[in-house]
Amino acid sequence: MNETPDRRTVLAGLAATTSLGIAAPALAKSSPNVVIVGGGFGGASAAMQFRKIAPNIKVTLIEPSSAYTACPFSNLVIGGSRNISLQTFAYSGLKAAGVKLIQDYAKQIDPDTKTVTSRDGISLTYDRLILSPGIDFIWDAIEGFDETAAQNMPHAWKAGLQTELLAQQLQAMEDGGVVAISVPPPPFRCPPGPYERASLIADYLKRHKPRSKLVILDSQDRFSKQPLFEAAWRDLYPGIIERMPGSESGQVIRVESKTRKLFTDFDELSVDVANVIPPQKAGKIAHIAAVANATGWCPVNAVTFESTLAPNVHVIGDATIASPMPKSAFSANLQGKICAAQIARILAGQPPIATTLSNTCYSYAAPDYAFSVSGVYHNDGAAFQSVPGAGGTSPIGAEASLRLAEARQAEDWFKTITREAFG
Amino acid sequence: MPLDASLSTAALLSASCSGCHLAGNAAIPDIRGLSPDAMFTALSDYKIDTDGPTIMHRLMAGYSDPELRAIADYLGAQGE
Ligand SMILES: Cc1cc2nc3c(=O)[nH]c(=O)nc-3n(C[C@H](O)[C@H](O)[C@H](O)COP(=O)(O)OP(=O)(O)OC[C@H]3O[C@@H](n4cnc5c(N)ncnc54)[C@H](O)[C@@H]3O)c2cc1C
Ligand code: HEC
Repeated sequence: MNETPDRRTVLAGLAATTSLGIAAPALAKSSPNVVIVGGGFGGASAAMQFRKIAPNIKVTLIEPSSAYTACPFSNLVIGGSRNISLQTFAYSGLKAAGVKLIQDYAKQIDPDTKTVTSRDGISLTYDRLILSPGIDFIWDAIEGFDETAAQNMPHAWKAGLQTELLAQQLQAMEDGGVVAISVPPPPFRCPPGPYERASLIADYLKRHKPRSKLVILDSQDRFSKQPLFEAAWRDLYPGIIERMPGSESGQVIRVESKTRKLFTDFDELSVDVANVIPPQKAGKIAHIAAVANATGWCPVNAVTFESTLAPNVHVIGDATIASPMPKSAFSANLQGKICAAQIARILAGQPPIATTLSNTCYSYAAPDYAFSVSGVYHNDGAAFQSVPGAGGTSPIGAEASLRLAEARQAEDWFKTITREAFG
Repeated sequence: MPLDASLSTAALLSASCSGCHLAGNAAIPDIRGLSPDAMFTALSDYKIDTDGPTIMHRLMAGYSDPELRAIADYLGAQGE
């Protein structure tokens, strides 16, 4: 990349600022600094977008992992029809595009000095900071469910070893066993995700362990794409999936991980494989930076994604309060691109501009059977607003050919979005 | 500092398209090479057909005609 300013220009710029002894306003800087925390769908997409649209901006991405493991499509891995290696993306593409990568964990943020400090003691100053840390689990919400318990009752809600663990436990289970999925109260990342997972586990059971059953212990009454999922379950998996909604005490309040027992208000269930998806909140660094509010999530200006709690700090992706935009990879990617463009405008002395955004989530009911839900949003008011008459789900009762077409489109979407984020 | 077209209103509106459309894909069609007018016609056709089954029908229903024109002019010009 020869568009990035070379080291000498940058150093000369810094020297000029220092010798004058005054802090130049960011918009006068020829090469302002943007620091991004978190190299997931939000952070990586924002970093890539800066390289495309604002070559003058220096972008530093801090991320502890050496490679990213994507959650979308990880339910296919659990169902046994996809290899986990297809979920992994190296950061070499971002490096090649001119993003400075720091493999470390952001530990402290000082908004007064505009500094991020890492676990290894590296200090980075920013003109604008973007946080895309994703989610953290609220470990004490379900009695008995902590990080150790998650070895026996995997959440598999951050992809990687947890995904493989759940897949292995399913493979090790005897035919005739019982699998449970515990679904937390909203908001959680990927609203249709638990039901896609239920479908693909049922697909695995049907093919390999047909006497087995799957129970969904749900904190929610209604869920994303419910009529589509329920029709698919009737058609594809009759007698396999049973669901206890929140109003019938479906919510899991306590577990005994060693014996794989789940407790609701009224019932106690011993199962062979337990997938416990815990309640969630914004990633830890958002709380350290004091950009999360009492809900556990981060309020933002809907146009710029700048935190309403801290100036010059933008938050994107799952960590935000962006409803009705869901916590999805599609949303995180788009928010990353929009946020980068707005920051580039601001740093060039231009006002940010409201726009129209969209989201689409594909879900698999079986490897050749998918449907989608989408939404279109305006951000010119105080918050995001769904555009009336737009969006919605794939038609109910459609032919198999449409489900197959959307299954193939979903694959293209995954290819596209990971290419945009990771190069 | 002069503003690049990539920071324009049209570019922001078009940001969601690149989440799905990528050169070389087949199930989601390649939209490079469509002229601005052909692109506008394709987008309007999805919008007008309110019972259409595809994702594009549901998405385009949320855009005003001036927005579709801006998107078509921006993306259509890139493909040429
Ligand atoms: C089973 C499942 C299926 C899904 N399927 C879909 C789907 O089909 N379609 C869809 O659109 N979405 C899907 N999602 C949702 C999608 O995975 C998330 O919405 C998306 O990953 C959010 O991106 P993000 O950037 O906010 O967070 P993440 O992608 O989680 O990235 C956060 C990154 O930040 C890093 N990080 C955290 N804290 C720090 C720190 N202090 N310092 C440095 N780095 C830090 C982490 O290591 C991580 O790499 C699915 C999710 C699950 C669980
Ligand atoms: C969620 C994925 C998705 C998003 C987002 C999306 N598209 Fe599409 N697009 C599709 C699919 C799938 C088709 C094929 C639909 C069909 O069968 O007619 C398509 C078809 C098209 C076509 C017709 C191509 C042809 O050759 O007939 C155009 C033009 C197009 N899209 C433009 C856009 C634009 C512009 C945007 C952004 C405003 C956009 N799309 C956003 C998935 C998407």
